[in-house]
Amino acid sequence: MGLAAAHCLPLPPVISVQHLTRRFGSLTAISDLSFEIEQGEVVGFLGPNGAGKTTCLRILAGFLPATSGGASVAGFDVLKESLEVRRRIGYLAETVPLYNDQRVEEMLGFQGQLHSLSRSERARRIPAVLERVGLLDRRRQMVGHLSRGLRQRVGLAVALLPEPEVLILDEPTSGLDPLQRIEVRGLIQELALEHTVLLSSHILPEIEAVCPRVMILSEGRLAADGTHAQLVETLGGGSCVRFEAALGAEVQDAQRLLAGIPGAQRVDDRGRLGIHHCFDIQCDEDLREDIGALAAQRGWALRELSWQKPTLEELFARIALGFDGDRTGPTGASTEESPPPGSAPVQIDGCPSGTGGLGEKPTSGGDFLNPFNS
Amino acid sequence: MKGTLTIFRREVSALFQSPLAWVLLAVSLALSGWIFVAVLEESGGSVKASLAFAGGGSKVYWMIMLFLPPLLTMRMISEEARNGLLEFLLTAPVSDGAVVLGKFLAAWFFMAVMWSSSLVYALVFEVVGSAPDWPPVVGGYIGALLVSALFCALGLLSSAAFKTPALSAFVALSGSIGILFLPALAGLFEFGWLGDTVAAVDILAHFHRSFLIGVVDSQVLLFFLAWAGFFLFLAVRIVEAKRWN
Amino acid sequence: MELDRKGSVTQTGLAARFGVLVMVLFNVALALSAVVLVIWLAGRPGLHWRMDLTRDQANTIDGQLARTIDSLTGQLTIEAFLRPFDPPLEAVGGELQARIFELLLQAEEHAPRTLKFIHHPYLPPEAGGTELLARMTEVGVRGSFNTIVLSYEEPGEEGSPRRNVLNLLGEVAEVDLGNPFKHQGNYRPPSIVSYRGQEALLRGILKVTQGEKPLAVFAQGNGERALLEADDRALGRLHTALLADGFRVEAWDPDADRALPQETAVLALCGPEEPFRPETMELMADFVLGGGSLVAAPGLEFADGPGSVTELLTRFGVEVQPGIICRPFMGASGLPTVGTPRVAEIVVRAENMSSHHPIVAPLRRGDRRVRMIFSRPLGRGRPPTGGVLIDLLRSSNSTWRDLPNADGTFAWLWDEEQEESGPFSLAMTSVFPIKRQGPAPPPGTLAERPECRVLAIASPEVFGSALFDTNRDFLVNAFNWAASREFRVSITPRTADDTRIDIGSDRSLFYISLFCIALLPLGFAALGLVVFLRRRS
Repeated sequence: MGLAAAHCLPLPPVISVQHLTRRFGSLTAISDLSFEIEQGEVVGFLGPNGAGKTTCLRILAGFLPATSGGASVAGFDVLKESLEVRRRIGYLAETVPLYNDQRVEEMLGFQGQLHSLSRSERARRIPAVLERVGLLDRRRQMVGHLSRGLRQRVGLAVALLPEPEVLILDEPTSGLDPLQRIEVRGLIQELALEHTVLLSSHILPEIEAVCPRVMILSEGRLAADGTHAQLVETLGGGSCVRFEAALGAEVQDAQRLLAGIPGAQRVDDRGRLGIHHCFDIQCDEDLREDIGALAAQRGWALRELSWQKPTLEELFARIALGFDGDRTGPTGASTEESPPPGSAPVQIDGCPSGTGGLGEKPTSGGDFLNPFNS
Repeated sequence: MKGTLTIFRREVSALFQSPLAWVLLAVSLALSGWIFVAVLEESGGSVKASLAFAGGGSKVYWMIMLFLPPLLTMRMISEEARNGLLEFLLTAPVSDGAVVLGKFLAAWFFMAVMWSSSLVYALVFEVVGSAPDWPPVVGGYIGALLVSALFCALGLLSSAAFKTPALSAFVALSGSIGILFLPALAGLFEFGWLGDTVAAVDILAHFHRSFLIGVVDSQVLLFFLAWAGFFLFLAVRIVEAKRWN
Repeated sequence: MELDRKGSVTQTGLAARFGVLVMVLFNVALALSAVVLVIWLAGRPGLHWRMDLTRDQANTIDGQLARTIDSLTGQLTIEAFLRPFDPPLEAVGGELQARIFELLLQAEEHAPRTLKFIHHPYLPPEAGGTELLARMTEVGVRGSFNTIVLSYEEPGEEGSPRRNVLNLLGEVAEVDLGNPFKHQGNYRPPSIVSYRGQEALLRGILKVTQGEKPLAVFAQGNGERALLEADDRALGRLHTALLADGFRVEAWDPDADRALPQETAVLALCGPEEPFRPETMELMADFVLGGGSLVAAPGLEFADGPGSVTELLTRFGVEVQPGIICRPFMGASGLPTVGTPRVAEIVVRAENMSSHHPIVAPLRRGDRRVRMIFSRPLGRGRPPTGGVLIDLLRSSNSTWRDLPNADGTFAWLWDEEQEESGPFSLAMTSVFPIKRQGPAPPPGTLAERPECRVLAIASPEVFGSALFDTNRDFLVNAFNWAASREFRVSITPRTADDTRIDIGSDRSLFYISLFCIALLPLGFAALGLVVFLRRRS
C-alpha cells in the first residue's frame, strides 16, 4: 500500500461511512448507513438485488454523490476530495466496463495513463498484474473476444493496476458459470491477502468463502455486520436443540417438561413423524445433556438429539430476506420475535455508529433483535 | 486538464480503428475533392475560387460540416453511459470536464484531419506551379476547425443528453441544421429584436465575413469558441447530472 | 471540473425537483450570458482585432477610405440595387456583387453610426418589386440595376440629400467578357480585369460629402438643346442625371440674364445654333479664364464664325475643324455601306478612349461606349500659356472626314484624294492656369489647384436624351470633372488575386481530378482497411 502513514499506529479506518443516505427521487436506495473498514480487512456486502449494495459501492468509488451523510476512503472525503479517493481505489463495476475494441494490454495501458503512471511504471506493472490474474498469454487479445470469466479477470487486472489501497468489487462473480466463479473467487482470495477488499454479492457462499467479515444490507439499511462466527453467535437466538423421540401419549407432558429445563426459552412443536414426535427447544446454551437426562429419566426412546446453530445463509435469509424459519430450515426462529424485514436493522455490534468495530465484544444476546429505531 | 490527453488519445485511436470513421473520411474527401475539381474546371482554373469553394463556399462543405460531427460524437457518451464505461471513466481519477473535453478533442481532431484536405488542395496548386495565397488558405482551415468545434460540441452535448447513439445523432443533426438555417428562416420575416438575436447566432454570416474571405476577426473567433464552450459546458453538466440519477 | 456541491438535498419531491430545475436554468443562463459577454467584448474597439490574410488585402478598407468614413459628420446611406447579371456574366457579376457587397459591409462595420448600408434585394415588379422601383426612381437610378447610390445628409441641412451613383460595371470594376465560343478552342470565361471598389466608393463618398452642390449652368436662348424638355434631342435626362449626381442645374439666357449666376461651376454650351453676342462671348471667356469650367459642343447648323462655339474653343486651344466624321456601317446586305447620312453615326469603343483621363478611364475599364452623330473633328490649336490638351475620344481608323460640297451638302462618301482618314479626336480637354483675376473660384469646387477646364465635344447630339443610355456615364463624368469633382484619389488599384492554372492544355486537370477525387479518398479507405484488418487479428 502506498500510504506510508498507514504504518503508524493506531491505524485509521480505510473506509469510514457515516449516516450515509442516498435517494433517487422518492426511492431511498440506502438509508443512514454507517460502518468502518480497517486496513487489510476483506468485507463482503451481502444483500438481495435492490438492497443498495451497488449504490453504496458507487458512492464509495466516487461515482455517485450521497444525498446526505458522509463517507471517506483512506482519509479523503468521497465528495470533497473525490479525485484523491478515486486515485486510491480500484473499482470494478458489476458490468465489468471494458473497451471491447482494445487489446487487453491497451486497456491496462489506458488505465495506467488515467492514473498517471509513468511509461516505465506501466511497463513494469502491466505484465505483473496480467501474471497475477493469469492473462499474460492473452495480453494481445481483443477484450471483446474474451469470455465472460476472462473479462472479469481483465476487469480485476484493471482495478489492480494502480495498486489501490482499497479494492471495491461489485458483484465480481455475477454472470459467470460455476467454474469461472471458482476461478475468480480464488483470485479474490489471493488478492484479499494483500488488499483491503470490499465486495458485494447476493450469493452467500461466495461471501462465506472469501470474506471474513460480512455486512448484510436490506432495503438500504445495514441489517447485520460482523464475522461469520460473530454473526452466528450473536444471532444465536436462533440456536436450538432438536429433540425427537417416541413419546407416545406424553406429548403434552414432554413439552411442559422440556420447557421447564433451565435455559430453555421456548419449545416449538415440530409435529409428529411416524411414531416420533419432534420438538425444537430454543436456547442459547447447549442443553443436550439436560434433555438427554430428562429423556432417560422418562424412558423416551430418543431418535435425535442435536444442537443446531444457524448458518450464515439462514441468518441472511432470515434477517435480510425476511424468510421465516419454517421455510428456511430446522432452526425455526420464531416469527413473532423476528423484526419485519427492512423496518429495523439488526445491529450486531450494538454500536450504531460503527465506531466500535469488530474487536469489541457484542452485547448480550437478547438486545440485538430488538427493533432499532434510528 | 489532467487526463484529457489520455481520454483524447483513447478516443482518437478508437475512432481511427473503426471502419465507420474511415468510410466517413473517404466519402467526405471524395465529395470535397469532387466539388473542388468541379469548381476548378468551372472557373477556368481559378486557384482562389476553387480553394474558396473547398474551404466553405460550397454546399458540400456545409453538408459534411453538418453530418460528420453527429456521426462522430453520437456514441461517445450515450453508448458509454449505457454499457457502464462512463462509470469507469467517472470513477477514474480524472474530472468530468476532462472526460468530456478529451472526447470533444478527439472528434475535433478527426474533423481537423478531414479538413486538412483543403490544405492538400492548396498543396496541389503549389506542386502544379501556381502558388496559392497561403495565409487565407490556412485562415480558412482555422475557420473550418472553429465551425467543426461548434458542431462537435453540439454533437457531444446531444450524445450526453440522449440515451441512444441514433437518437443523439438525429437530435444533433437537427440542432445543427436548425442553428445553421434559423437565421435564414428568421430573415424571411420581420421579427425585430428576435431577428437581431437570431442574427447574433448566425454561423453562416459570421463565417462568410471572416474565414471564407481570408480574414481572422477576434469577434468571429470568439463567437465560435464561446458557443463551442457553451455546448461543452452543458455537456459536462449533463454528465455530472448522470451521477445524480 | 470538480463536481458542484450544492449541499445535500434533504427533502425530495416537488420542491427539491423545482430547486434543481431552477439551479440548472440558472447555470445555463449564467453560461449563456458569459458567451454573450465574451462575444460582445471581443467586438469592442480596443479589444477587437481583425487580420486580413489575403495577399492583396482584398478585405481591408484602405486607409484613406477609412479616414474619409471616419471624418463623416452627417449620415451617409449607401443603397445597393443589385440584380443577377445576364449571361455570360452571371458568375463574374455574382463575384463582383459579392465583393462590393463585402466592401460595403466592411464600410458599415467600420463606422456603423454614420454609415448605413441598405441592400435592396432584387424583386421583379410582379413579385412586389414596385416599392423597389419607386425607391430607385426616388434616388434617381430608375431601372438601372447593379448601381450603388450614396445619399448624404449633413445635420441641419435642408432639402433632399446629396446623391451619387456608382455603376458596378465601369466604375467599380472592369470586366472582360472573355471568349464564349467553346468549340473554337480558345474559350476564355468572363473575368474581372480590375476591381476598384474602394476607389469608386471613396470617390462617391467624397462627391456627396465634400463641398456644396456645384452649379451647372446651361446656356439657353441661342438655339441650344432645351434643358427641361423631354424630347429625344433635348437635355431632360441629362438634367435628371446631374441632379441625381449632386449638381444644381440652372438655365441661363445670356440675353435676358446678362451675367452668369454667381456660383456657376460649369457652363455648358450644348450646340447653340445662333451666334452669341460679342459681349456674351467675352463674358464666357472671362468666366473660363477666371477659373470656371466649360463644356461645349458646336451646333450643327451654325458652327463656325463669330459668336460661335468654335470661335470660343479656339481661344482655349481646341480647333473645331470643318467636315463631319463618317464611318462605313454594316448595311442590310452585311456589307460596309456608305452614301447615306447614317455614316455620320460614330460609336467610340473602349479601346479608343484615353486610359488615363478621369472622364473616360472608368468607361474604358467598364467597356462602355460613347455614341455621336454629326461630329466635327477636333484639332489641336494653341492653348493659353501653360495649357495642356488631351484627347479623350478618338474615332477609329476606318473613319474619314467628309467635307461639305460646294453647296454645303455632304456626299457621305470617302473621296480618298481630298478627304483624310481617321483617327480623329472627338473630345478634347484643355486645362490651363487661371489667366485673369476674375471672380473667385466658385465656392464648393474642390480644385486642389485653381485651373481652368474646358471640354470640347465634337457633337451636340451626345447630350440628347436619345443617346443618353449610352452616353450617361461619359456625360456625368464630364460634368464632374468640369466641376473639379473627379477626385484623383490615390488608392492603388487592386487587381483581384486571380492566379489560374492552365487546365486546358496538358492533362493537369485530369491528374488533379484523379488525385483529389480518387486517389486521396481511396488512399484513406485503403488505410482504414489495413487498420481494420490488423485489429481483427
